[in-house]
Amino acid sequence: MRNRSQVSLLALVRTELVALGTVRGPWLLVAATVVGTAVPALLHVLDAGTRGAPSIGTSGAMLAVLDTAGNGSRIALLLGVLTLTAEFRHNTVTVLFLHLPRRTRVILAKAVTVALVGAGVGVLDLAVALAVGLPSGAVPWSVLNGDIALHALGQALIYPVYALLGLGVGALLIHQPLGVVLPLAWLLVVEGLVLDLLPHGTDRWGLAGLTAALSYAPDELVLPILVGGLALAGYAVLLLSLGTARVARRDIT
Amino acid sequence: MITPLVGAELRQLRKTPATWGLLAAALLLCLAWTAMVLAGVGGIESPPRGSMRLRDALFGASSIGCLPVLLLGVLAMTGEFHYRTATFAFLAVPVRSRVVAAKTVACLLLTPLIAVALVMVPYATGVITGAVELTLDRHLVAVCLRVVLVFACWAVVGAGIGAAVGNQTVAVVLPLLWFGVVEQMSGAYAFLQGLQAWLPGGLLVVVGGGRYPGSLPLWAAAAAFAAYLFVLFGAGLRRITRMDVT
Repeated sequence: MRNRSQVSLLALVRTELVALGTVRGPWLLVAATVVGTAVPALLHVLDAGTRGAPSIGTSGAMLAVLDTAGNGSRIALLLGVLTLTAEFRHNTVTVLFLHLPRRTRVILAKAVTVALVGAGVGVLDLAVALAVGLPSGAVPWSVLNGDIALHALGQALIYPVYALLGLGVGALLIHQPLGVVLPLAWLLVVEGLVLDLLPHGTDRWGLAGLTAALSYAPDELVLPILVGGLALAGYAVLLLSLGTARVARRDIT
Repeated sequence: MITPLVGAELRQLRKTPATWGLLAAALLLCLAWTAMVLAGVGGIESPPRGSMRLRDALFGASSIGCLPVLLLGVLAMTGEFHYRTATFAFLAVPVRSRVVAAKTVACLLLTPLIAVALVMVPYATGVITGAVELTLDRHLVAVCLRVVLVFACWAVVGAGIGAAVGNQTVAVVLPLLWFGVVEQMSGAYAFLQGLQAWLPGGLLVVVGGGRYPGSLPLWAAAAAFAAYLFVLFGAGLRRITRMDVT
């Protein structure tokens, strides 16, 4: 019989994928990202040319519709938080770590899983934005170029990175309600306030600034896409490492 | 009698670390906003030192406390379900609607203290730094009363969401996404123009004495807000009174 601690990472990832797929929560979150992309994209199309909104066929309208593909990134973050905190919330963590004593490996498997799922959801939301933009003419084929493709790719890449950030936060905080409130409150309210008090230029290194950089936002103030992506991934790795260290030493009885 | 129940709920809130954590968060956020306002004094388009505009801007810092107060309402209502103590609570007080009412009243009783603290902290900071003069006038009292009313409304909304949803994680995420994302986005689209005035966040601005283009009259906003509360608590009471807590 195979030693339990030698279960391959691939098998663990498969198990996590099955676990995510058989629970209602992740599906609801994915549905929320699709709605959060499709509705604003449709509204941009309906609004085009009115009250100062860019008209169909302009790069402004195209970017507005494509930008909606990034709306679900916060939900991807929640997915990451819930993936680990649910084990503690439902007291399944004891059984999990008794069965698979190498906790860092379990968290690594969860990280790979949420990154894969995040990437999938990112691509799905990009497809939803394109499904609204292409038939309506808001995203014309004729103006699609390398920069636009990079922007779209960046939007989709935000999802896996945010999912990893969420997993890191979840591993650090453990408490599920706190784990979902803190990152959301940080993104929606606190970061803007805190960065406003710091010297000018610091905001480029905040989550919002780095997210804009990774999505290749047409803004001269943001960092280059590669720097932004690496820095955001660095935050995720840092949080995940701290969280893993905490979970590895935690009493789960 | 509901009074002992309310007392018990108040004690429970006082003994819960989350309550103090939320209050600390509210205070820190309020101080951060105050620092932001004071840092801008003397800048272009910033209110000048000693002006009424600066005083109002400092009072405005208290509005950041809405979020923690809302979460306080959610946590107060969902705590029993999250920690699986609802069985004992409903065995002790079988009329479940009274427990819900007591929790809501306990939150309401806390809000004046939070509101006055969050109005006074930025004002005192402004006075200490010499940015504004200390004047205890009717305007100050009016601001305090308005903030108390608005905070009470937010706390009740939180309690209503907590009652209607039950699951603490979902109940804390929903209002954050609704008020922080959905309502913010609704104002950005011409197609949805007019809808914002009917959404809970838009209504609360009017109830708090604010006005914006397309806002409803005060009586209509209060009535619409009451309707939202009726729906939330109606659904919540129905859920709670019928749920199996064994």
